[in-house]
Amino acid sequence: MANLRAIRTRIKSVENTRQITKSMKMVAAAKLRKTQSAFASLRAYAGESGKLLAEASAGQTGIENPYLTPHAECRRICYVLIVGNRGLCGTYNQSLLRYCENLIKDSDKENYVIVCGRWGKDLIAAAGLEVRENYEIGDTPTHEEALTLAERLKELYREGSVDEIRLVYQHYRSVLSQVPEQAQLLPLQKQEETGSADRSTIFEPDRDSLLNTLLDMYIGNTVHAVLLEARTGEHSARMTAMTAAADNTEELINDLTLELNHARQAAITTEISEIAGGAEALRNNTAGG
Amino acid sequence: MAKSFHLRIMTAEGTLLEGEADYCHIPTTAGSVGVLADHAPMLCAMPEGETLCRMEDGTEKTVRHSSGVADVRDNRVTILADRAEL
Repeated sequence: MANLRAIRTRIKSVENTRQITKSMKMVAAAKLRKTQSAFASLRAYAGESGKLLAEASAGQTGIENPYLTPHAECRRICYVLIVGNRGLCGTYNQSLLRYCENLIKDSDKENYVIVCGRWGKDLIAAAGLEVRENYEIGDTPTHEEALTLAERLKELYREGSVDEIRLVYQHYRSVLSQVPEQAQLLPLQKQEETGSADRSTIFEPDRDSLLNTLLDMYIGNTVHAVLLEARTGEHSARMTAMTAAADNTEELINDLTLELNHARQAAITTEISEIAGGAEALRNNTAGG
Repeated sequence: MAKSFHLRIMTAEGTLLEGEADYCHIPTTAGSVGVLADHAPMLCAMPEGETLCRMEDGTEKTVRHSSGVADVRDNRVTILADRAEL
């Protein structure tokens, strides 16, 4: 009977695992919805400020802004690695770390690594990345957190500690697919001018300081958008991984139940044949005696 | 009744206030500006401060906000600030 009991214990434990993976999936789904709605509000805000930026910069050629001017020589690149806050989300974090490692290996420039997210401090250290700064970013990044990070990045660029800033994150393609990607934050790349120069617009106090304000907003919004995109990807990856895990436990439970029934049937058959054998022997004894 | 314009105050976390207003008082980096309907197109930078809005129904609302920009055109006033609260 030891076998039967072992199988039952096993089923119990797999059922517990299923419970856990199911709830983790539900939590990830709820967080995913939250980040998605935050993303929608940000998109409206960023769209509006982008439109104003295009309008204010339309027809302007010699804009003086520290963030638009590349440094004379690019010696040191700052990589902002945006990892997840937790594991259990498939290869989301590992593949991103691998990607970032390769980026750094392939470049002959110095690097300055900033990590955002709580995941795998030891793994990142083991990969040989020298992490200079660490930022805690919540599961649904707020604008506040994005601005703090953006402020620090701008400062690094302004004081010349780094000559280029790149955000390294998992680009969100769909719930099922995220791809590691890098995007250059600073120096800002000039975009195609779309706005029309409306001469009648009054600029208060003047066009240049207005442009500076708008560019600041633009940088903050870009950082926030990337953080939200990375988190959306993380929650989706976790949801997918947990769905797969829950499905697996289901399958395992079915297999184990089948095995349990076989074992039980075998035990019953053995018992019956033992009883039958015993009865036979008893009858023979009585007949003989 | 005074003519009104469409007012919208947006932050990164969502739209804080949207509605018809007939007057609003915006602090800009060059001094405060009062906006009535049919104002000339204007784009202005705002420091941290308070914007006073008188809505169409006569209620007055004060919005505290961080630095940002205000866009005035075609009887639409859009105020963008990273943070804001009523």
